[in-house]
Amino acid sequence: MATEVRRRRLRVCYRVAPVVLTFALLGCSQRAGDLTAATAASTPATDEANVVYDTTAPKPVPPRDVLEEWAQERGADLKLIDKLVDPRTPVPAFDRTPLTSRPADARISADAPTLDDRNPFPPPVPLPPKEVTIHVGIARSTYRTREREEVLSAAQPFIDLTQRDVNVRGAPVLHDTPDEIYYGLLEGREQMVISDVFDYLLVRSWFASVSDNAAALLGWAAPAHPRTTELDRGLPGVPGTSIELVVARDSKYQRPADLKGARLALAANYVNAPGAFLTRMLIDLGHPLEQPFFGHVTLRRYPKDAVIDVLKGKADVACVDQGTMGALDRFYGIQRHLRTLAVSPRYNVDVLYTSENNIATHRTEIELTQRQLNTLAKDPEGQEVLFFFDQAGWHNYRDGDIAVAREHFDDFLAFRERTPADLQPLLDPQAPIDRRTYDRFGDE
Amino acid sequence: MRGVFLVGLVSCGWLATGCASSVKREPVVQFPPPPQYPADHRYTLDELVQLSIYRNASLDVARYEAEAAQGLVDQVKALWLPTLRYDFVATAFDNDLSYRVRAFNLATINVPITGAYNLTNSLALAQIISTGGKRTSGLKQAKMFATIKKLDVLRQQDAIALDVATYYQLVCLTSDIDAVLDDTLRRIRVFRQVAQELNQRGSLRASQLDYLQADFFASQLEQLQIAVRAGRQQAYAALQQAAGLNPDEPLLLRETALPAPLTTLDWISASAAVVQGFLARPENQQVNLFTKIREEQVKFAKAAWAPNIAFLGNAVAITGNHNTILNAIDGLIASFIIDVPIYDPARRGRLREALGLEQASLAFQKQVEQLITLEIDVTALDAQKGLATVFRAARARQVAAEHYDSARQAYSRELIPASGVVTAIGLDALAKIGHLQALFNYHNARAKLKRVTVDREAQYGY
Repeated sequence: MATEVRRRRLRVCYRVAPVVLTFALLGCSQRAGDLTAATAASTPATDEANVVYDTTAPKPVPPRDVLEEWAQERGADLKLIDKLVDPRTPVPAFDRTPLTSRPADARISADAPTLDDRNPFPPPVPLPPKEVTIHVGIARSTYRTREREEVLSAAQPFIDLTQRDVNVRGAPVLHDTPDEIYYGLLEGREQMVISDVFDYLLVRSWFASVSDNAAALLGWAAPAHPRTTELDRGLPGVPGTSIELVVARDSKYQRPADLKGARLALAANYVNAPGAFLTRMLIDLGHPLEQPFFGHVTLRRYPKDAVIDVLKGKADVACVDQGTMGALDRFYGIQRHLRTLAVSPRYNVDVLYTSENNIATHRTEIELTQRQLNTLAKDPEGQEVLFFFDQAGWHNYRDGDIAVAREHFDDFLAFRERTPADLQPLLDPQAPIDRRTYDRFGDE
Repeated sequence: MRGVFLVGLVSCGWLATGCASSVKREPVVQFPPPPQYPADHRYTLDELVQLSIYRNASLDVARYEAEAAQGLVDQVKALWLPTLRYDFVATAFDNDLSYRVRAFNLATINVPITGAYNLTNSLALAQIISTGGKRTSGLKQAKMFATIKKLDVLRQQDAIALDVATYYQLVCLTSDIDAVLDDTLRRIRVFRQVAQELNQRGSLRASQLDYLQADFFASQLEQLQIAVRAGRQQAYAALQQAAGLNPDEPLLLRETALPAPLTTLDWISASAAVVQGFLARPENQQVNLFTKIREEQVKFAKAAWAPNIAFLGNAVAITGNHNTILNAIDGLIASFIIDVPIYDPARRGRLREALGLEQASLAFQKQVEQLITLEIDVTALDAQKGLATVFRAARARQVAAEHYDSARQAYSRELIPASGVVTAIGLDALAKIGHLQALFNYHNARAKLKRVTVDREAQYGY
């Protein structure tokens, strides 16, 4: 029985031995090939062609004993298992897809877009060149003491804004006199004009004699910082559009009549409203216009200098607009040193107008430009353009808006036609002007 | 067969007990249904915070980890239940494993112990009867651990709500600053253009320096605007992520402006915030449970001296050829095991370790409580500082606006040069940005305060 058992065992051994031997040989044959990989950790590879560099592989660690070497080489048994199971147990490949990117028209909120995918920060796009299709006249009576270059430069942002917003390119044309305005409109050289309201009324009166044509008032400008005094608080018209006669607070002048022989200071090129006001005053005083009323009349470069002259005692009275008085009072607090002796009606207003011949030829451009002017106060560029002229904004004309100016138009005509002797320098381009000016500290 | 029947009876008993206990119905706890919004919905901050609770993936990680911890509790609870196993074994031999019996010392008889093959069917029932408190202590620890994991969901929820609020507020801040910069840039460009035009026309009213100053200022603003717009986009992307939305999912905000300044009624009590936060913070509750676990581990270590008692029951059926002896052990085997540890010095080491860790956890709890108190205190002061700063910044903004308007008026009357206005525009922009920054700081401090005091019910209101 035992013999039989031994025999059986031997048979099993003979059958198993070749299998084990084959496995062992396989392991050994693998060893040569796999040695590189297996010992990559311990020795640098020499066969460059068979090397795959991988920064995730461990740096070589020299084995310190047989066990460590065995562990690093892994042995034939493990390699056999590798061979058998590795092909069936591959590490799954990365099979995820990237998340879909944000749509091009995505928005953060209704008024905030997301940035462009390729060019998130584009430089500002310059305006393309465009032919001028409308000319706008700007009268001296509206830019007053400013230089021509200043007006042309300040108008440029408005022109660009109009082109950008409504695709109409305009060009400014400066005028010194109402005659130039009239002919510019009549001959269609200019399509719109900005001037003082009295210039408009004058041009309008001239258009009245032209058949099938007329001046058309489009809008008017409100002052940026309207000032009112006790004397004009209840007056009709737009607040802040009066002219003031200002004297030193402690001076002897109580009424306009007291100013006879006093030294008057007023700004050169600030003509229409002061001229109409002073002419009316002289007429009301019953003073003959051809004779001087004031002791001395000085034309100053800027209205502020006329007021500071009164403060400094260089003049007895200054005739200036309320905008200047408001600015000086806010800047220096000078009201405590000055007193307003008289104020004019509220007619120192700037207006925008055109003529019927231009409406016939340039209706769209005129409407778009006027709309642009009316919305200037709503955007930052517009506000800056407006403030160059100390204006708060432009409004469409409605009946009655310039009623005060119409009512006192005769005063303006009297000033132009029967110019008082004191005011003749205002209309004389050659009249001497005191161009010295005070700095911000009040020093000359 | 008798044994199998008995085991089946016991199992049915257990099951019946389980069914009977389910008669008392517990409220079903489930995740609430998510809010539904149309694709073009404009989200408020509060809605986004709500959305993040449903959509943020980190919260799902925390929730499922908490659920996994409940599985651990079930594992420990199962120690009170028996285990029932069925085993089938097929065995083959090349020897009949005969046992030589010398009968009466006269003759030798080969008694076969087993045949060439055997098939064994067995059913094993095990029931732990007592562990001397180890099992109860383990369950307590597992339950506390599960509660810690559940509290962690709330902790993360609060942290994500703060993230959402911060990113939302950053989008608002950057949008507001962008608007200020845009406004300032457009104004400065007017000045630059006018100065350049004057220069080109040869006017003495402006010099190249005026143009260069305006140009430099504009270029600085442009750089700042690029940074701010990029910041807005980044904050928006982070907001989308925090709310749990993919980039291609629409997220339209209702407002991209910081809400108006607050009233003086909004003053915050720092001490009240500390009390509220201390009691409500999940971290405080977590660390408290952690301490209790350590305490329980001391009991667990002490219980190692207690005996373990268990019952084992086996039902075995063996079939095969010529298995004369093994067939004889067919049937039911019942064992009652009492395992008394008599000498195991490692237990003392484990108890010493548990005692040390218990004290360490108490110290850790103290440290966390101090840190949380400090955090609430500091955040409350931040909110108070933010509110006070907002009022001052609003005043500064008002002053700068007046300064700017005054400068514009003065320039239009030739009282100051153009550079004065450019400076005024710069100051105005600076004050506006300063005010927005203060407003952001305040709102963000409020959001942090909401987080540190666990004020989940309070609405952001925007």
